[in-house]
Amino acid sequence: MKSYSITNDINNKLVIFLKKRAVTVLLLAFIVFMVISKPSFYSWGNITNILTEMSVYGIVAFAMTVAIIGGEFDLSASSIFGWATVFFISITNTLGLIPAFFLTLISGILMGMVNGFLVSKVKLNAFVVTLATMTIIKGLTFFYTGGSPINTSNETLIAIGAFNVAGITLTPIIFVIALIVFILILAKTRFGRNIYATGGNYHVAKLTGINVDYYKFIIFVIVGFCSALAGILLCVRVQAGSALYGKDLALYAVTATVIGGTSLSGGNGGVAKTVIGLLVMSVLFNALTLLGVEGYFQQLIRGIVLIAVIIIDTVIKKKNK
Amino acid sequence: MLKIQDIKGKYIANVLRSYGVLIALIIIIIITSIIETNFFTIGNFINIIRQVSIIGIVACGMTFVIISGAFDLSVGSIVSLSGVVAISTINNGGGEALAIIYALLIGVSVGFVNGILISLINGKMGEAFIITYGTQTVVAALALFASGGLFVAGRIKPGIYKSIGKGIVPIVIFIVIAIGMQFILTKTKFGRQMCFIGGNIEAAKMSGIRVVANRTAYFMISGLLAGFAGIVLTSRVISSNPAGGMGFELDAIAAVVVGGTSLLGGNGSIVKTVLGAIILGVMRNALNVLNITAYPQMMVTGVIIILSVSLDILNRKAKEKELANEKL
Repeated sequence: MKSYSITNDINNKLVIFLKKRAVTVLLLAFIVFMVISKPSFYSWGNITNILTEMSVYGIVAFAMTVAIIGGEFDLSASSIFGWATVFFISITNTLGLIPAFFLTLISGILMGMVNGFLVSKVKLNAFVVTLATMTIIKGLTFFYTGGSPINTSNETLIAIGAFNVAGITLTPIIFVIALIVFILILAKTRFGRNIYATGGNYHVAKLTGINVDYYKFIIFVIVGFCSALAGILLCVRVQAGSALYGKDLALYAVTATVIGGTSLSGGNGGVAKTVIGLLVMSVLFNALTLLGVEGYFQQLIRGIVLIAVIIIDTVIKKKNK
Repeated sequence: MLKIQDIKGKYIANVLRSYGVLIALIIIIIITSIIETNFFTIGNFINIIRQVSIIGIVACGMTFVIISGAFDLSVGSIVSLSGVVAISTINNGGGEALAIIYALLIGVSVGFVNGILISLINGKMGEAFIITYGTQTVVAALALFASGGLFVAGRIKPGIYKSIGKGIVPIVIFIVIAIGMQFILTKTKFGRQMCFIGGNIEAAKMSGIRVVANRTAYFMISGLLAGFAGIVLTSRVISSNPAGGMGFELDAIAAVVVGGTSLLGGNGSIVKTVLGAIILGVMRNALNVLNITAYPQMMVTGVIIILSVSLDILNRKAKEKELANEKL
């Protein structure tokens, strides 16, 4: 009889695991399928390619995860990213690389501060605020460049862009550092726990003495900073800036976060989960490209996957309750 | 004892709060008219309203969805797809009536998918955001697929389809739709239930409102109007563009918000949305007349959106204060 109960127990645990990690299991199954059907998928060149592709947007996705945990949303990340590429390249051409680096980060922080102020102090809806600042910053970027892309031939920048360890460039390295920093901040510090508390229940958090408005504010500063940083990292790779870069970034970041399993209602989730979401998106698209699926069709599949994941996610959560 | 000055001050504040948007519109018109004589002409105003009517039709549907506590990001791509399908139906000899039916059918079906998915999972604003973004991606892909990614010139003979976008016809259509929607919102059970659902969905469910059916209907209306806007758009430019409606969803949301309908759901009005759409149109036209280029225009639009939501918040705070005072 005892052996029966043990297998039963294992079965139960397996079911719970499958339910909780459905997306991860699907991802692994998909990877196995790809490795068997397309050997080129499993080459070092393609793996580093996937890593580099997901790293730039991934850094913004981490910041977006923090924002969503804190119960907010930031659509302006796209525009801040585009602005950062343009501003960084133009300052590199005039004042040099180091001032460009710092000034770009500062500009990203300032834009985040404007968003944060409007949401936390004026108490405006984050969706509308960031929709508006998205338009404003995009207009500013187009105005600044006259609409055309700009590039640079700064040799140091090209050298940094070419730097790699066994095919791994600077971007994935910074991506991993960002991941570790975010995990530590969210899990191990009071700052991180307070963000969860603020997103989980704003009023309760306020009553327990947490300075909730400060956390609402700082969330947007983090997104602004990370968007600017990601913009710089893209510049390192392509040595060019354009207002059109990062057009779909904000929605990409939200999608990766949700697919990873961070709930849109705030108060739970984490950046490690978002890595799964990023992997799903980038592996899927890499695979579709390798399998020779057309551009329109890829877009179609992306939309369907997005809808399917959010529905599966909500249904499973409801059942677990 | 209340002093007369107090009452006067209160009255002015009330007027400012309630009609702030209208006052802003009048100020924009006066200033631009003084600077540029070409602005204040009947021809120009007809032109503005005609430009506004397409976004306005989409924004009317968006108002219903927002009042019920959700969002619809898919409308822009519905405009594109319905236009592409309508034009290619006509070009392939399918006839105008069929083209119109297809376009409307596309809108209603996408709306149905949005509505049924969101209401079945009991989705709030966040879920509505993601799901309609998903359908937006899918529908935009279908529009590219159907057109091969190309502009298609319409071979439209003079007839019903061509006249829909001509002269003041779009304006008349816009006004008729707006009046009909306002009537539904304020005078029918269906409209009152919409406000109830947006205000408190759990309470609405408890009181026996068929929430899933109702919410699906709001999205279907939004989709239907977006499909119709696709017809008006392609009829005006006599060609279809697979990205023709790109960004319409944001313009429509902007019109709703600038008009003063709260994004929190539960209340709002079509009249406000029409005003919001006209304000944005007048402003864009005024900036054009004043020779301000497209990029600073984007910035001004953003600032106006922020200012109008701030006004909404101030309004609500003041109302809360008044209620608290009355209770005392």
